[in-house]
Amino acid sequence: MMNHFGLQTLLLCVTTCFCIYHTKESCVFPVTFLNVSKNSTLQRLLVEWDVSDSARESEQEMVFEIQVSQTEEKNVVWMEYYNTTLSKLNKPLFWSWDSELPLECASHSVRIRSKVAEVWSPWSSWETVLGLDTSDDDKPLIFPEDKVVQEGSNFTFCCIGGKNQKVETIIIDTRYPVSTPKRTIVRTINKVSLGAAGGQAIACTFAGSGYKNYTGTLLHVGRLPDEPKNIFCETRDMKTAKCTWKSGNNIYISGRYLAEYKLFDWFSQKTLCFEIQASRSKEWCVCSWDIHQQMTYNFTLTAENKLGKKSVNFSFDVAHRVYPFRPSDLWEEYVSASKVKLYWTMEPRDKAIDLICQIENNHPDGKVEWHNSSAVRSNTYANIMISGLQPYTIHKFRIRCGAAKHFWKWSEWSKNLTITTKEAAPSGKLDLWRDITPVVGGRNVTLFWKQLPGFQANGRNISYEITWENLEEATEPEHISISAPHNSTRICIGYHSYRISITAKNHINSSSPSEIIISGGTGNDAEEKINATDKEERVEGTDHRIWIHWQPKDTFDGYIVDWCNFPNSQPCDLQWKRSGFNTSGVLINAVAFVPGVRYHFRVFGSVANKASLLEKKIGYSKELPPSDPDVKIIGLIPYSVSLAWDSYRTDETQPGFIKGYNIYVKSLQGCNLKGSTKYMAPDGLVWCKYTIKNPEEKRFTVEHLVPSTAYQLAVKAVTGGGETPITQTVNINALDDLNMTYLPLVLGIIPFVLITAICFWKHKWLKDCCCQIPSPDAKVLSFDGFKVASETELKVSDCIPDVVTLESKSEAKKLNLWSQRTMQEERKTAVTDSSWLSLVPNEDRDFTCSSSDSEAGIWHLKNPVYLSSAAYDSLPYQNLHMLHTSEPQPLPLLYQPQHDIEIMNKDTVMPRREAMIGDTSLIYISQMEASCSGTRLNYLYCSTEPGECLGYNPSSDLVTSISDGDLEQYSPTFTSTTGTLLLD
Amino acid sequence: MLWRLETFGTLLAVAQNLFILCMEPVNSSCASCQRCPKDPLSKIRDQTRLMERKARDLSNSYVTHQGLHRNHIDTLCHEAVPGFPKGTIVTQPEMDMLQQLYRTMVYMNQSFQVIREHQQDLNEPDAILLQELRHAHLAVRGLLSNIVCAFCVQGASPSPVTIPERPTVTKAFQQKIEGCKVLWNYARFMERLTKSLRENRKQVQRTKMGRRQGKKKKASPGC
Repeated sequence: MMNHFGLQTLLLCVTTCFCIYHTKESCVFPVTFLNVSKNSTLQRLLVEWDVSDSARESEQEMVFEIQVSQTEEKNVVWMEYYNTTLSKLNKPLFWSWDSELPLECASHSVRIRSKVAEVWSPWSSWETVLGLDTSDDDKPLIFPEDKVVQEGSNFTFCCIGGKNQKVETIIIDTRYPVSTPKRTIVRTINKVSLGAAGGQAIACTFAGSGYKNYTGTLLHVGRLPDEPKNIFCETRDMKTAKCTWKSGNNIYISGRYLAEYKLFDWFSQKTLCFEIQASRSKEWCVCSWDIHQQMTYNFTLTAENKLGKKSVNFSFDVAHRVYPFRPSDLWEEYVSASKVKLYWTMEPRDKAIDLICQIENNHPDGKVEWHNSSAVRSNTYANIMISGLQPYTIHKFRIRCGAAKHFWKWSEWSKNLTITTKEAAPSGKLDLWRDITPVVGGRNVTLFWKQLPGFQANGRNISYEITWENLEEATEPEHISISAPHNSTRICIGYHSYRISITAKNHINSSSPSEIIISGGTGNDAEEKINATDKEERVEGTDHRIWIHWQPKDTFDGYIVDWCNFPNSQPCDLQWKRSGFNTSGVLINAVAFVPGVRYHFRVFGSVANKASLLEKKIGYSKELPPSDPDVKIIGLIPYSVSLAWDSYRTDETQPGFIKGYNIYVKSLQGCNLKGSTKYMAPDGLVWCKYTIKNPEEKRFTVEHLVPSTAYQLAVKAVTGGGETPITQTVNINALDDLNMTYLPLVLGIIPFVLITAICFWKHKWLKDCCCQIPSPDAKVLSFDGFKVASETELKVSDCIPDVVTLESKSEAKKLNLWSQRTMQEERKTAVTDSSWLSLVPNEDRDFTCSSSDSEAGIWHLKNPVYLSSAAYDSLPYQNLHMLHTSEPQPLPLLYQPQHDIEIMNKDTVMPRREAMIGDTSLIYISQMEASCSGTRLNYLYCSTEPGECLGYNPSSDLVTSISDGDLEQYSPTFTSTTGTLLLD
Repeated sequence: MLWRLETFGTLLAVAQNLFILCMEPVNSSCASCQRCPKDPLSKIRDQTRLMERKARDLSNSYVTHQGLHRNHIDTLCHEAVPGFPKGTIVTQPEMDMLQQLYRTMVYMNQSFQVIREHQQDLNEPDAILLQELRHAHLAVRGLLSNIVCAFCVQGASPSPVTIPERPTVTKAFQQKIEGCKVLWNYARFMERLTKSLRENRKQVQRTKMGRRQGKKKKASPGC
């Protein structure tokens, strides 16, 4: 029993131990084979390894841990788990790793271990791919060489010196010295950007002896190619097919690195095209191939460059994408004047493609017609009959074709075929109209015609055949032929009714005739009139359009409106327009209508080709503002002004119907006239406005003017087009109301005169009352009771004119005689009033007391003074005549009794007045001492200075006066243009 | 130098005579001179003057288009290449000068061929640089033609030349650098050549003027 128990225990132990051992053995499958290689271009490490056959047979899921180390120091730079289920087929196992660092830059080692049931196998030994940084070569190197990288990625490169070299500098965009020179230098450029098309150069220079002291590489930065776009494939001849696509955006790398396009067909498993984009600027890519028998394709089009690829799938059925060749050899065969047969040829000739063709017919008037042919084979001569053509017309034909089945697109148009169809008789009718003018013994009928819509000449040498026949007398019809392009003629007919017909004729035949009938009329009735008044009704128009309306009558079968396009010209270009029997108006739409021109319209009712005048109209297509009236002032009195523009015409010479007039008045004070309305002009000025609504009322009186106020007046005629802006005005000054001006003056003078008269009447009494007045020289004064209180009465000293003029010698002589006679009479005649005189010798005959300032004021000198030439010589003041004569001349005895002298230059005289009064140098000579040749005159001192006003000597001997009556009798009216002397 | 000028004048006279002889339809070497300009040397002088400026521009343009920085040029491009004569060739006898020029232009003709091929791989077909290279290449060919004419009018022909072999370059960077070197050397050569020719011409003019003055002195010994 004990033995049995012990045996059982031993067996269990052995079994357990075996199982443990066996399990341990079967769960660990170490790597039996490991090989590492590299793809330098792709910077890819290629790893192959294997496990034992027993492991494969177990077909277990396994995990492999792979470690990649760089440099000799075995720095692990990458670690990855690789899961797989072992099988007999996937032998050996494969894994690759893309390195950022070019594999030549450093040695790369790989080791692998496996794991089964959470039990790791031991690591394999490191398998190493040596870098070139440890080579014994003298040649410096740089890696990678000619690398293409995507924009924005990082780029790592290394420079490896020769055996005895160390990297000294790195040159990219500038020179970067290497601080610690080593044989191998690794650098990374982050986020590379697009650069030169041929690649950016990167170089390293080396110190130390070697094959050469520099090396370099190119960095091409670009983009992935775009997915091909706008792909379409087609065939033109069913023999070859072509696919076209758009390459897409710029990838910024060119030359050998441009994108490659591959067109792969899945049905035939063939790559039909391998197209390398010729250049970055070439946008469209094309691929063509022979179809042979394959009609359907399933394509994948791939665009690929060094950075990657993009592809697109599509199918292509050749029969559905037929784009025929352009038809050729188009020619014609004339069938009739309106029919032509067209022939053409198509491609391909060696293949029968069913095509439909489209013929384009371009008419001379720009109209285009299309005709479609039935299906034709490409290898036959196709033709089509084109009918309905216009005779004797140039037609341009061209043709294009497309596939009859599965239409894809039209071919290009063929070359144009230009033909002229045959001639035929004119078709359609002419529209005939007339204008009747009575003449002695008959009527002149001017005939006008035009082609009605649809009329066609259909040939050359068109002439118009006009025939007219008397409907009341049996006479032979008369005939006239007018060649085109004339469209009017004049015939003379009698007072009977006539039928006039017209046809168009070419050398083939004539068109259908058009007729009008002219009613009979005698003498005065020959002229077409509506009624006795013959009144013209006004119509309104808009731009180039005038609506004419009339009272329709049932008796007419149609209406005609005629007018002249150029009413002011001869011929006036008569136009007419017909309308139907049920119309009551027509819109005359004429381009020839000019705004501002009055047009006359006549409306005729027509029945059986016989027209009778119904109405007359006048109107403008657009009325314009009329011309301004020529305004005259016909009356100007205080408070009002009367205006007239009688000559203003209101007829058709105006660019519109005159509706009335607007009168505008403006003063500085604005508008304050009664009865007016305020009007603000566009320029902002305010005017008083009066309106006259009757065009024939051409006078107007503006009232309520303010005296002594300046006014501007304007008269504007008004039409439907408005009126012109106020640009020209009539300026007036409202007159003063003299009654109001002089009333205070009169009221002031009357008391003064009364007092003076009383004083004179009672002068002895006054004398007695007042102190004694010294008596003048008794010798001189022969007049009893006459004394001159020179200083108190004579006011000559107030102002002396600087120019005194006598009108003429004859007058002077007359005056001379008069003066002699008067002087004698004067002794006997008491001087009752004062007279005025101041004389200066003029150049030849006149005495002029001139003023340099003609605008000066007027001074009135009281008391008569006579100036004698005899006294002139003794005059100590030579400057009297120096004013106007260069040499002193003997003064003729000239004087002119005048009762008023106006001396100019009041303003300049006034200041001198005070100074000159009391000037003792003045000589005052009595006129009684004058010789027979003249009368002694008081010398007036005229200064050479302009406007100097000198008084007479108060201590002088004698002053005489003459009466007003004498002056009026002998003194001519004296007017000086210089304004220096005025004689009232 | 004076001797060379006299020789040059003699050669011109000979060339003139040869040209006259060429009028005869005989089977001679002059047949190839028929399309030559009357004064090929003058043409060569004018042509080199034009090419000098173009060569300088081309060298700069090349650098710009290659993504080469100025630092690359200084370090990598400014290096003499075998194919260009050392020193000035103008100081040599005329025939030698022509031969040297001929040799250089043959080298340049071949170099342009290679550079253009390389650049076609790196540039767009319509790139400006390719056009400039083409024009420069044509100018070199034209100059070669005129050099041949210069030999021809003197009844000679250039000796066959052996172009120094250049290592075949497969790497694009190295191709660029090689092109850069050649074009830089070419520009320098053309610059030296035109400068020498210009100075030579001035010296000829000075010599001529000196001769005239000498004659005048002989005519008036009292002075």
